[in-house]
Amino acid sequence: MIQDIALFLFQTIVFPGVFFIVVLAFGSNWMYRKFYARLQRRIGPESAGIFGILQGFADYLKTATKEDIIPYGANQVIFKYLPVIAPVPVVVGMFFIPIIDTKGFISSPGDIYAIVFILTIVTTTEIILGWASGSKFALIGSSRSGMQLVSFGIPFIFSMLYAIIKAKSFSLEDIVLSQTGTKLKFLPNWNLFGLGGIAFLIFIICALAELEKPPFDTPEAETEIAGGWTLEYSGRGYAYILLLEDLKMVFVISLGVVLFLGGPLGPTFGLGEPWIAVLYFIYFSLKYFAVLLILTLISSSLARMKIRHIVFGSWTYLAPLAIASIILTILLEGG
Amino acid sequence: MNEEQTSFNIGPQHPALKEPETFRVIVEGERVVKAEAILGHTHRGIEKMAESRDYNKTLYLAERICGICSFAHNANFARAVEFVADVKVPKRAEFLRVLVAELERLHSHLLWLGVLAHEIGFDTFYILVWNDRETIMDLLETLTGNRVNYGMNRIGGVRFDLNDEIKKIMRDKIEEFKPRLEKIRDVVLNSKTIIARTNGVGRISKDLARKTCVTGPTARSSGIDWDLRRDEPYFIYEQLDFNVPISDRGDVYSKIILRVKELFESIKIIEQVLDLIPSGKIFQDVRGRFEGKAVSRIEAPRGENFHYVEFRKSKNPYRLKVRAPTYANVVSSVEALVGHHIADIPVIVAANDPCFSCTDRTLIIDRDKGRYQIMSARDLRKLSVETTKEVMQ
Repeated sequence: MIQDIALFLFQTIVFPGVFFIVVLAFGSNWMYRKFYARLQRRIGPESAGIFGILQGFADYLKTATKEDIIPYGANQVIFKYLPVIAPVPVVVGMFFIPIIDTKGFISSPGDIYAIVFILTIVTTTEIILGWASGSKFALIGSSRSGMQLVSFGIPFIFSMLYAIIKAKSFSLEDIVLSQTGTKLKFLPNWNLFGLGGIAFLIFIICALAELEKPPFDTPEAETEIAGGWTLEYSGRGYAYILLLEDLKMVFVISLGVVLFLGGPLGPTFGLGEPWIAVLYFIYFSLKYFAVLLILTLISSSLARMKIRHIVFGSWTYLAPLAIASIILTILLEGG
Repeated sequence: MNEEQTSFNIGPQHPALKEPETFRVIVEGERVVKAEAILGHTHRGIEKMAESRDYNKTLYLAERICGICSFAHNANFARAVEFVADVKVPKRAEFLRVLVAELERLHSHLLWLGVLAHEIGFDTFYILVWNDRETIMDLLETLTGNRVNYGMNRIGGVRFDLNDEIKKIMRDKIEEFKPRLEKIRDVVLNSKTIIARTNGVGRISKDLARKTCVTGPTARSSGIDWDLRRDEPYFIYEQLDFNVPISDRGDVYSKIILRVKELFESIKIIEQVLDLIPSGKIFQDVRGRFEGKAVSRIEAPRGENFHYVEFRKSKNPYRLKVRAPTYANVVSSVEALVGHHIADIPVIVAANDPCFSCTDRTLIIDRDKGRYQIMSARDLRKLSVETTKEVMQ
C-alpha cells in the first residue's frame, strides 16, 4: 500500500513526472540553441555548466527574478495568472508519452483525443495571453497564432491519422506495439519508413508551426512585431512562457517519436525487466534528439514566411497532401 | 482613420530598427494604408560642433557622423577642405583613398545584406554573411589599424601607407574572399524563401524615385543610371575600369541583386588599385588659415554624400553642412510602404540601408501656424531639463 503510494508520488513528481519533463525541456532548449549556433558557425551557449548545458535553466532563473510589469491596458487577472497555469496541459500531455515502457504513465484507449485537445488548448492559451496583454503588437501576434492554428490544425491531425490507421487504435500503446518487428528484414517496422514518410514530413512541418520556430515564427516575429504575443510579459510571467515553449518542444517532438519512430522500441538483447527500461529510455532519447536535430536543421536554413504565404501554402499544398496520403494509406495498406 | 483602421509606431524602440526613428503606420488588418516617418530622435549637433574645432579635429568629427560609412564622410570633408586650401593631393594618396573607399563599400554592403536577412528572419544567412564580412574588416584593420573609424585621411593626403607585405595579405585575402562571395550570390539567387519575402516588395518606380530624389543603390535599382564614381569622377576613378549595375524593377529583391553585383565590381576595383598604385608621397603638408567655400560629393556605399564647408580666414570651419544619403532615401521608403503588409515594413525600411544617426537634424515645425525654427543647443538643453522635470514628477 505505502509502496504503491510512494511509487505513484515518485512517478508524478520525479520520473517520468514534472521534474524529468522540466529537465528535458531545458536540455532540449540547450540542444536546439547549441546546434542552431553551430550551424551558423557560432559557439552558442557556453558558460552555464559544461558546454553551457544549464543555459535554459539559467535563463529561466534570471527571467524569474526580474521585475513583473503589468501594462495599464492589460487584463489584470489573466495577465497575472494565466502564464502560471499555461504549462500545465503540456506536462499532463507528457504523461501520455511512453518513455521507459510501451505504455505511458497515463494510458487510455483514447490517448490521441487527449493529445489533440492539449495541442489545441496550448495554442488557444497563447492567443488569450497575447490578447490579455493589451498591446497592438501582441494582438497582431495572437491573431497570427490563430491563423496558424486554423492553417495547420487539419494537416497536423491528418498526419497523426496515419499511425492511428496502421495501429487501428487511438491508444499510444497500440501505436507503439504496431511498430514492433522489422520491414524487409533490415529496416525497423517504424511508421517513418514507407508511406508514413509523407505523414512524417507533414508532421515535422506542422510541428515547426506549432512550436513557432522559423520559418513559421510569424506569431513572434521579432523584427516585425517585436515578439508578438510574448511582448508585454516580463519577470515570472515571461519565465513561465519560456518554460511553456520549451515544454511544448519536448511534447511535440516526443509525439513525433512515438507516432513515427516506434517510441522507445529497439533491440532488447533478451534482457529482463529492470534493464529493458534503461534500454527503452536510451532508444527514446536517441530518437528524440534525432528529431530535434531535423527540426533545427530545417528552421536554420529558411527565412520567416509571411502569414499570407503560410495560410495559402498550407491549404493549397499541405492539407491536400495530407488527405491524399491518408486515402493512399487506406487503399494500399488497408484500413 | 475609420473604425477598421488602427495606427501603431515602428520605433523609436523596436527590434527591427537598430537606430531610434519612428515610422507611424496606419493599418487595416495587416495591410498598411498610410505611413509617415518622424525623424529627429538622435540629433547630435555635429555641424555646430565643427564650428568650434579646427579642420584637423573636424576631420575626426566628420568620421564619427556614421559608423559604417565613416571613411566616406572623412574623405569627403578632407576633399572639401583641400578644394578650399587649393592643395594638390599626391597620386598615391588618391589610390589609397579609393582602396579604402571600396573596402568600406564591401563591408557596408555585406552588413546590409546581413541586416536584411535578419529582417526577413533568415538568421543563418545573416550570421554567415557577417562572418565573411570579418575578412574585409581584417583587411581594413591591417591597413589602418582600426576596424570602424579608420582615421585614414589627413588634409592633403592619407596617413597610412601600403607596403609589399600588406599588399600581399590583401591579394591573398581578396582571392580567398571571392569564392565566398560567389556562394553568397548563389544563395541570394536560389533561396526560395528570400525570393518569396523580397520579390515585388516595396517597389519604388522610376517616377517615384525621381520625385523623392533618392540616391545610390536605391536610385540605381529604380532605373536611374547615376553613379558619381563614373559620372563625376573624383580621386582616380576615371582611370579604373568598372561597371555600374542598374536594375529597373525597384523592389527589394532587385536591391539585393544590385548590391551583390556592386560587391563584385568593388573587388575588381580593389584588384586594379593594387596593380596600378604608383610610388611616391602619400600626403602634402597643409597648414594655415583659409578663406573660401567648397562643396564635395562622394559616392558613399549608401548613396551620394554631400559636404559643404566654408572658411572665413580661420582654422575652424565657419559653416559645415552635411547631407547623408539616408536623408534623401527615407522618403521613398515611406511611400513604398503603402499597400504592403506589416511583415514587409522592416524589409522595406531596411532595404534602403538607412542610417538615421547620420541623417538626424532638429527642426521644429508648427504646422498650424506655418512657421519653423531650428533649435539651438541652449533651447535643446532647456527642453531636456523641462522634460526631465516633467518625467520626475
